[in-house]
Amino acid sequence: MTQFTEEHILNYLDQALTAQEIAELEQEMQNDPELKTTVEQLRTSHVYFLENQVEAGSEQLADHVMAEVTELSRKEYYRPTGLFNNTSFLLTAGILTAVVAFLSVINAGYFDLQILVPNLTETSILKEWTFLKAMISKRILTNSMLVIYGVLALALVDRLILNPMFRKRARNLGFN
Amino acid sequence: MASKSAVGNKIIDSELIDQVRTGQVSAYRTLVERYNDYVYTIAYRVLGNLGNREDAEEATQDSFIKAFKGLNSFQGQAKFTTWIYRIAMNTAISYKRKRKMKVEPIEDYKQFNEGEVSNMPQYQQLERRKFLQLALDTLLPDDVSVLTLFYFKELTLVEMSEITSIGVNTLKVKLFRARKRLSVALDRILKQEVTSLL
Repeated sequence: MTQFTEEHILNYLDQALTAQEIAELEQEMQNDPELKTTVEQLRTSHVYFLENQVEAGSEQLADHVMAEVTELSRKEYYRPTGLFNNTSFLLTAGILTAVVAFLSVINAGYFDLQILVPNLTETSILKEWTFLKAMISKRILTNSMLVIYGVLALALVDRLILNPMFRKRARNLGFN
Repeated sequence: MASKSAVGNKIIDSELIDQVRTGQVSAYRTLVERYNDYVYTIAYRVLGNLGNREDAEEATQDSFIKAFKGLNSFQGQAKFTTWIYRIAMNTAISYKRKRKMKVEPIEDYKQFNEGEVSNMPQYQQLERRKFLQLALDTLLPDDVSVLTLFYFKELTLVEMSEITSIGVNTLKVKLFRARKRLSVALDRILKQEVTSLL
């Protein structure tokens, strides 16, 4: 005769015993009132739980969740996060940099020219095409290009590495 | 509750998740509606009679919001259910630890007055539900979580292990002990109930 443990009994309730084991257990229950009590005790909680496996949640819950989720999505949670999908920052930075760089080149060239030609405003050079060429300082142009590349590099690092990294960190810490 | 095919759901769930990731946020509603009852059950059971229905619903809502926020980090190697149940369990346990719950009787039970006791099958089920919850309230949150997941009847031990972060062998022992404790607690409550009626 098998010595029935509580594990056997739980397997019996879960219908995980063989037909022979079931027959033996049920036979033993008739002879052993203590075993029968234990089985009944475990069966009661088992049946109660089976009857109440799943509780019914609120039907409005989906509405509440979606309202919050929609609000979150407006804060860019699931907008595609590629470099050019949110271009407002890059566009503004690019335009500002280009304008500043252009003005720097023109102004620097102008002042360079004033040093070389003291009476610039009185000379006929103003009317000539060479004036524009002379205003553009190659040195300043090169420096300006470096500034532009630097700003773009910073923007790239921010968009591709820093921003996703801090977003993920904030989410993991439960912010937002 | 309609039965759900785990395999079928996995495909559909992953498609829905992909849609959400590509910006179709409305696809998330299907996921919420599909698992609302399950997530709510975890919260309700863990928060128990110390909490009320509103607390369980708040924890459920919080779980879905957390899941949404973390959807990009969901790798899809495990089932969505495994992941959302884990979030639900942790959220409910966190609520239970952090919040001072107001003690209220189980509200559905209060809906019945003496005149309605004649509706025996429904009344009996509510009685059983009440006693079950009272017995669960005497257990540790971990035990309640394990039992709740076990009786969902759709999870394997490996999946339960992933959800609870407990090794499979330890989980078996824990589940066994939790079932035993529950049966003892329920037996005691039922005996007290019988005594009070005499």
